[in-house]
Amino acid sequence: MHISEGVLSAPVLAGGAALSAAGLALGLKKMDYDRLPRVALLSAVFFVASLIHLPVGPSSVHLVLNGLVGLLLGWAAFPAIFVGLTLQAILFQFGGLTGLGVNTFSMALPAVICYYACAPWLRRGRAALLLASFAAGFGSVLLAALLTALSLFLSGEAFLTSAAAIVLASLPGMALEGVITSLAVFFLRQARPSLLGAGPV
Amino acid sequence: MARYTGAILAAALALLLAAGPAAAHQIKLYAWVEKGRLMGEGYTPGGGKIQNQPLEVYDANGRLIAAAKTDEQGAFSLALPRGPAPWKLVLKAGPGHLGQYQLSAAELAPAQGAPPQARPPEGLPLLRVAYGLAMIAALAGLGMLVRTWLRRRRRS
Repeated sequence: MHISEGVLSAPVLAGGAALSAAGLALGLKKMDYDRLPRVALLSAVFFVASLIHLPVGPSSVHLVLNGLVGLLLGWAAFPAIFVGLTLQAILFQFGGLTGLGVNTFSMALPAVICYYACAPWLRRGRAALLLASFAAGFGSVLLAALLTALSLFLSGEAFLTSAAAIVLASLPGMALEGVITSLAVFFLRQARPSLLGAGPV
Repeated sequence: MARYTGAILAAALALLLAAGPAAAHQIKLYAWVEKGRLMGEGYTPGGGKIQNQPLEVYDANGRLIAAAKTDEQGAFSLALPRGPAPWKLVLKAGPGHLGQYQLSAAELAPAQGAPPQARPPEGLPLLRVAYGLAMIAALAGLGMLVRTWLRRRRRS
């Protein structure tokens, strides 16, 4: 998901930066500043989640948790993920600064999509909540993988090859992501239902 | 409720196990850097060519930095990606067939025209994590300050 520096072509980097800037502007505009602590908290969750790598087969998986960020923040996922990614790039050389636009967009757009697709189901009983949040966790990483493959394709790689490679490599991650997101959302429902019931931040 | 959680956990566990290190048949994979390109070949133990199979390149952090396919001759050539050395190349030739090759920093250094990037320290540098979290808190604090300031200005 974090594309390294020097892989993507300049137009793709510029396009990603422009799209992310638009998403950031929209996110900041729609954000209710009374709920800034929540945005900061989820930004911190996102920042930490990607740092812990678990070995799986020939590769390793790490959590992204963009689905959880999206479910709880809506459009404010853009600033939250942007801040998290910027700090990962500066402190851990994850992704690099030039790819920040593309990486932000490919992780925050799925978060927003999951917000619209899954968040309404969180108030319709336990089964719906668990399924919807699993779908949000799984789907947001799947979509992020596809967007990453698309950005590689636009930079001249074969789309199907890189898409298949990335999706296959992150399949265990997606399942794990779904389970963790679903459990986290269930916990929030029990402990802090107001976090889920309220509208977008 | 317990029923659903159990089912979801079981499904996830099954997926994780399925993706685990299946007993893969070894295939031979070699790679080198030439004229700014990453090149290599893959063979079956019997010397057969691995045709049209996906190759993946991972950097020292286990991140996928490039993907390609072998040609009719079992060879591949791709633009040199970037990432901290050593890299791990993985060639998948159908279910259960896997070849791996490690490209060390020394093999990569002349091609990149610069000393290999310093490897990030082993383990999780907690100080940096704490620093990152503090930065996020500080940014939120800054946002709140700006908000109060804007409100006060609107009132007056």
